[in-house]
Amino acid sequence: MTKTTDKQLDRWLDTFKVDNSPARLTGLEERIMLSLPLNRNGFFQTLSFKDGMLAALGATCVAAGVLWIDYLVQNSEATSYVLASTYMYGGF
Amino acid sequence: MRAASGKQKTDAELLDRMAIGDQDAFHSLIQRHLPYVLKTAERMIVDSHGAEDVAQEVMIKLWNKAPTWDKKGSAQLKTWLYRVTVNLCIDKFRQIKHCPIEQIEILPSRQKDALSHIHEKQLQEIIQSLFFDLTNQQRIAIVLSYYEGLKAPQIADILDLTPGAVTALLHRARHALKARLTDLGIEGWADDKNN
Repeated sequence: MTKTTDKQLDRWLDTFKVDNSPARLTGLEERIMLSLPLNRNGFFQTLSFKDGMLAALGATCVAAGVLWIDYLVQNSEATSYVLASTYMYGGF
Repeated sequence: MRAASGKQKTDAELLDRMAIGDQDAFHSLIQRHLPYVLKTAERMIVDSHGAEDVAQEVMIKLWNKAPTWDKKGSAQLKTWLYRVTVNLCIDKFRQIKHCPIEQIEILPSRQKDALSHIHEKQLQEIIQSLFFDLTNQQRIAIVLSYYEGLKAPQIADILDLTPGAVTALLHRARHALKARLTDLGIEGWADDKNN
C-alpha cells in the first residue's frame, strides 16, 4: 500500500472550498446588523445619574420660565383676561 | 457609504466608536473581519449554515464586548476573534450530525477511469468527513495553520498552548489525515482535480 505524501494531503486539503463570495458576506453583514441588541443605541439607553440630573434641571428651568412669563403676562394691565388665559394654558 | 467612512480607521478607533453605540463603526469592523471568521467557522464545523450562525454570534459578542475592550490593538482583536470563533465552533460541532466517511459512496480506488468521475462535491464530502475524525484541537490547528496561514506561536496564543505543543498537534493531525487517506486507498484522488 502506497503511503499518502504531504503533497497529496495538501491537494486534499485544497479541495475544501468555502463560499466567501461578496453576495454571501453582504447578506450575512445585513443579518448581523439587524440582530444588534438595541441596548447601546442612544435612543434606548438609560441616562446616567449626571445626565438625569442635567435633564431634570433643564426641565425645571423651562417650566420656571414658562410660569414667570405667564405671571408677567397675566399681571400686565395691557393684557386682556382672555389673552392671559390663552398664554397660561398655551404655556402648559 | 458606511464603509467609506470607516475604512481608514484602525480597529482600536472603531472599537472606541462602537463603545458608544456607533453602528457604522461596527459595520466597518464586520467588513474587515467577517471573511476570515466565516471561513474558519465553516472549516471548523463543516457546515455552512452553522458557520453563519457562529460568525453572527462572534460579531454580536464583539459588539457587546466593545464598551469594556481594553484597547490592546488590532493584532489582539484578531486573536480574540479567532479564540471566540473556535470556542463557539467546538460547542456547535457537538450539535451537528456528520456523515461518517464509511457512508459516503467511494469509488474503487485503483480504477483509473474512476478518477475522471469524481465530482468536486464528493471530494468535499470526503475531506469534511476526514475532518470529523480529527479531535477538536487537531482540527483547529489544521484550519488555522493550513487555511488561515497562522504560525505556531499565533495558534498557541489562541489555544492557550505552547508553540511546541501546537507543532506536535499539527504533526499528529497531518499524520492522522494521511493515514486515513491511505487506509481508504484514495490518496491520489485529489491530484487530478487540483492539477
